[in-house]
Amino acid sequence: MAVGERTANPPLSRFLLPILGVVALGLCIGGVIILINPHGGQNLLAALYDALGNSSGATDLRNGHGDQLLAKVILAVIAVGVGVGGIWLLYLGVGGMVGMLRPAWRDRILPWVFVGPALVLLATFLVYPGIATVARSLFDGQGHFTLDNYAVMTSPEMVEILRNNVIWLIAATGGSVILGLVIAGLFDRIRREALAKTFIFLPLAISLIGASVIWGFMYAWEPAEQPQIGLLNAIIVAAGGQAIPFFTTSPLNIGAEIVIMVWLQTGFAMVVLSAAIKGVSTEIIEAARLDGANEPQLFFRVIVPSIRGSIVTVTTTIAIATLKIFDIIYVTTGGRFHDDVVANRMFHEMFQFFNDGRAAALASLLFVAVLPVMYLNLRNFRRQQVEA
Amino acid sequence: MSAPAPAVTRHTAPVSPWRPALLRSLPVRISVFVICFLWTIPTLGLLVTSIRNPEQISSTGWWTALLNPFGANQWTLSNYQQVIGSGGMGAAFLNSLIVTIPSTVIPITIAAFAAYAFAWIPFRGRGILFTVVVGLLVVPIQMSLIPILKLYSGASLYGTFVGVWLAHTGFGLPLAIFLLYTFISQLPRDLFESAAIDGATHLQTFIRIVLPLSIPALGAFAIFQFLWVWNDLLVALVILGPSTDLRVMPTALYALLGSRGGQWQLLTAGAFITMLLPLLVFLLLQRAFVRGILAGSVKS
Amino acid sequence: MVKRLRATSALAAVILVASACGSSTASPTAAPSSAAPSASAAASASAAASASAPASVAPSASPAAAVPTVPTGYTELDKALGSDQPYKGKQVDIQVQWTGGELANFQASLADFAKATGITIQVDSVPSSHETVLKSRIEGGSPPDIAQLAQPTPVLAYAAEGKVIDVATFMDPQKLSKEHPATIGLVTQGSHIWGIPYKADVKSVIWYPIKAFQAKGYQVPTTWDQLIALSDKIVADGSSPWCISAGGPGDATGWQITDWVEEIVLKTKGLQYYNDWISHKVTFEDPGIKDAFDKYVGKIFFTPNYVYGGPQAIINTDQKTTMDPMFNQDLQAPKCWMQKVPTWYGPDFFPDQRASGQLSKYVVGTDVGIMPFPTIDPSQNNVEGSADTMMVLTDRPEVRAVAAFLSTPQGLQRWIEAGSAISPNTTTPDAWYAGAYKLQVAASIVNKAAGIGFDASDLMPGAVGAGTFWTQAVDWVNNNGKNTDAVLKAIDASWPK
Repeated sequence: MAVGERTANPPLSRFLLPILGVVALGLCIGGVIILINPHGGQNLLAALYDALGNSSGATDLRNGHGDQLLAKVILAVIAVGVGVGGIWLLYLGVGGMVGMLRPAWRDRILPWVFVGPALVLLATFLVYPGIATVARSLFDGQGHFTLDNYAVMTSPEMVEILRNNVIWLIAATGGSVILGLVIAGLFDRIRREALAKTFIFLPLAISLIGASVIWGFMYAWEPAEQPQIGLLNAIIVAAGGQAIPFFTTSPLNIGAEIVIMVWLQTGFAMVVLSAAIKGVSTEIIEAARLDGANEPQLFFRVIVPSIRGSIVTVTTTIAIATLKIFDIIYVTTGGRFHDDVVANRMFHEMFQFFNDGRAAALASLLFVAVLPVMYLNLRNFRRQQVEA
Repeated sequence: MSAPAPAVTRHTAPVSPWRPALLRSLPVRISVFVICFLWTIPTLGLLVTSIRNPEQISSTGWWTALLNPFGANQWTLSNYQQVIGSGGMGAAFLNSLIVTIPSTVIPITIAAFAAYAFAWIPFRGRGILFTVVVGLLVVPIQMSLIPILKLYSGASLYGTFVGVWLAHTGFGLPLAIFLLYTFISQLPRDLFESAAIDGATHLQTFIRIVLPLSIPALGAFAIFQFLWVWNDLLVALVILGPSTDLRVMPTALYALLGSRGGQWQLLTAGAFITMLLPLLVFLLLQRAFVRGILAGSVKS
Repeated sequence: MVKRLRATSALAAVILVASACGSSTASPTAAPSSAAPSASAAASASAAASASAPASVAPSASPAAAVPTVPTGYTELDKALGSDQPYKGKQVDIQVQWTGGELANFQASLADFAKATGITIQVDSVPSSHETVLKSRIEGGSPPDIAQLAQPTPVLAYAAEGKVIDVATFMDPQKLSKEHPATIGLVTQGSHIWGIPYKADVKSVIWYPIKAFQAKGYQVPTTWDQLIALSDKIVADGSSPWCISAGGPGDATGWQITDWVEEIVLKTKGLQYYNDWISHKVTFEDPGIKDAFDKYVGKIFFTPNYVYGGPQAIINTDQKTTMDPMFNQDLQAPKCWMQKVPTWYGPDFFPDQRASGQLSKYVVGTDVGIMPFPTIDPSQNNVEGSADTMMVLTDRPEVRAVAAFLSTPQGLQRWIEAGSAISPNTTTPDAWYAGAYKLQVAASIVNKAAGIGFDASDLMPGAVGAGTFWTQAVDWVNNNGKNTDAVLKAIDASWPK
């Protein structure tokens, strides 16, 4: 890793980068103009056809016939070019330009070039809606200030919902992280690791609707007169038991839904943790082995502490996803069997009950609930940075 | 601060260091097999169901087809034929690519730059900003849609691909920055110190050192963002609008079902078709994970 | 994957069914005298004869274009149909939740008009997430020009926010009200009319296997007592009389139970009481409502062997497959015999059509029939229904023209002729319905009804009508009807102050 090489050709990059930046800007603007126009692809191809003298093809296209698919392919190429290439060129161009400034200015501006785009997008897409949401929760339909939207939080129904969220948080997060960790550790020791990991990863690739169909076939319940088409109940009945309606029996249904979540999320935990395990240095492991540690000890006393940062990250990510859990409930039971959760109720209040204020209050509640998680995380980061 | 340069080690030892040949023993192999099998049962059910005769799907369990694989009138590809043969699938596939590829690359790029700055460039307000960024993970997407549409209606971004990219980028950034920060912040400090001594600018350090070393993290996030966008229905519907021209794969699949969901067996075939590309992407990126040079926490 | 779970999936097949339930609608006054036989048994018989081409376009399908004749009574519509085509090239965008066959029928209904006026009508079909997408578009400021909604409640909610165009501002309100006497009230507030009733269905019907009934000598019951006697007889003969689903799976679970309760309330307590119940002047804890739960719905749901699979099956059976046991051995040996579900159910949900997507081999009217829900109190022979509304969201001349067109019988003509829609417009010619058994039965039920009640849960505040009424009713079934008082109390407690 000879870093020195990199500084060998500054003059070239000094001139190249700004030029690239300007070109990128031009390309991006042109591409965006085409992409924003609903018929951009057709018009571009039509213009091309006109230039090539194929005016009938051009007319067809403008009237919504002709080579629509080709127009789409061209659009796709432009989209990928603008989206992928444009963003890179933009960074390099602007970064290069800032690099030509005096060092004092450069050091002050450069960080904002790096984080600026992220901050602008986040402000637009999350901060502004987030603030609008909190504000909405404090007013009633007529625009008067009220805390009524929060007052309902104490109803027995809401208490049940909050209880369910806590169960989810503990069981789904714990289950996914522990299983993901164990699987990542275990699979690290076999030859066909990539193949084995693919099996665990598979659920992530399935669309939610696919997952709901799949688990329908796992948990399905049929009247005793009928053959069971759900795998679990078929096994129960074959063993002489009585079929259980998993999704409608409270509180069993919460467990049944958490299993789906764990099935999905373990792959995420595994991928991230497995990457972390690959980064544990050989020396540490060899040293522990020389000290006579056996394999389980090695894993739990050496590997796990070494990847603590990644474990915290994965846990946080899954915990937040779990707090916001919505779609699994929505597609399996709709939360109609004492298994409702905050985000699902929020969706119902918003889009079915037309109770925007209460939906906003529930969203604000989620935000408050996640603050402790974030606090713990930051403390962890600080500690790491001190140690590093 | 004597973190070894594991890059070198990893290149010489592509096999995980704590994997002694002796211990690739039977118990490990059996448990790996059992875990993989259990994990795959539901997906296997989906696959089997997707090639079963629709009339049998709701009358007998899917595994009965496996127990009696040569039964008459048992297997059919008609579900796949119906899904693929229906008009507009080709255009929907292209639309999905137009939506997904930039919606994956843009947030990763923006997040990588931001994560690097948060981790290694000291500037005022860094800690607070980072806290806010990660805290935004919790904003529920359902609550964001209406405010965003209000902005879009003014900026004529409603119903455009650019609008969807930006939305997916915005929604994906907190997780992207969070994950990438975790990796990038744990790179050994020596690397940056020696780069600074050599006079490398931050831009050069980022491109020539940080990016190559972060491939596993970038790959991991790319996969997740790709999957999320690829399978997304709601953001596409709300921001692209319901126009048939702009249909993506999930929207097109739903359109096949019939308003009463009568044709829902097509879902099984459709779910499988939509799975193929993400799976391919995962298998390709798999290399990035295994070859993974340096990730997670490197500590002595 | 983590991020995917952030998503929302207003997806789920579940929703498709839910929306279907919503779109089930009732026809008030359509086809006043068309072939109204005196008894429903006779209805099935006579219809059987004419049902040889069930869903095909009726022979009377006019070769003439399905557009109203000028003058229509509506300014912009007359203009649009003028020979100079003033709106030629304009585009009007309609968002609907229909897809598949329904979408095709809707588009067919618009085709002639689009041709005659030169207006391009873009139909945005959002089979899943219709309400979510619509609300986002409306509140986000990019609404479609016209939107279809299955329930009147959201129409009024959008109206209250000032998002809806009052159609009375550009269409003659007297004419509109006169032509839609039963349905216009759902979307009228004072002098404002917030939508156009477009399509209707009847809910007070029971599906049954005609030939198996004849083979066993079962009579179609016309009173509650006969219904119970028939149920007992079927139990004695060794099978279950009822196929019942709460409407699920998942989020949709519950609407069928509320339909049952509403049916009983209409048939025992009458229309005035029913409407007072909707406005909460009558509470759920009122004895009349409690009786509907305990004495009537509970009798059907919880009498041993009445429901195929037992009460547990009610909340665990997929609405799509509820009637499958009826088709046992080609309808020769039904395992259950009756399902109360609206007129839209068949043949779309018959097992063979569901599997293949092709028209079912079982003919509605010959193999499977529809009977009116029996009367309980003969003086309270009311029926239940609901109507799809077209809500106008932008105010441009061409949008006004399309809106006015949708209010005319011609706006639904092709769909009616395809045999599967009922117009809420009373000026619809009877001839368009010829040959469609389902529509004839529905019409005869409506004609004999003392009054029409609209789906109460659709009219109650959302938190009750799509919320606690459903969840508590599900809880009630899950407890075998043992906790009626607690359930009713909880629903009352949830009524918004």
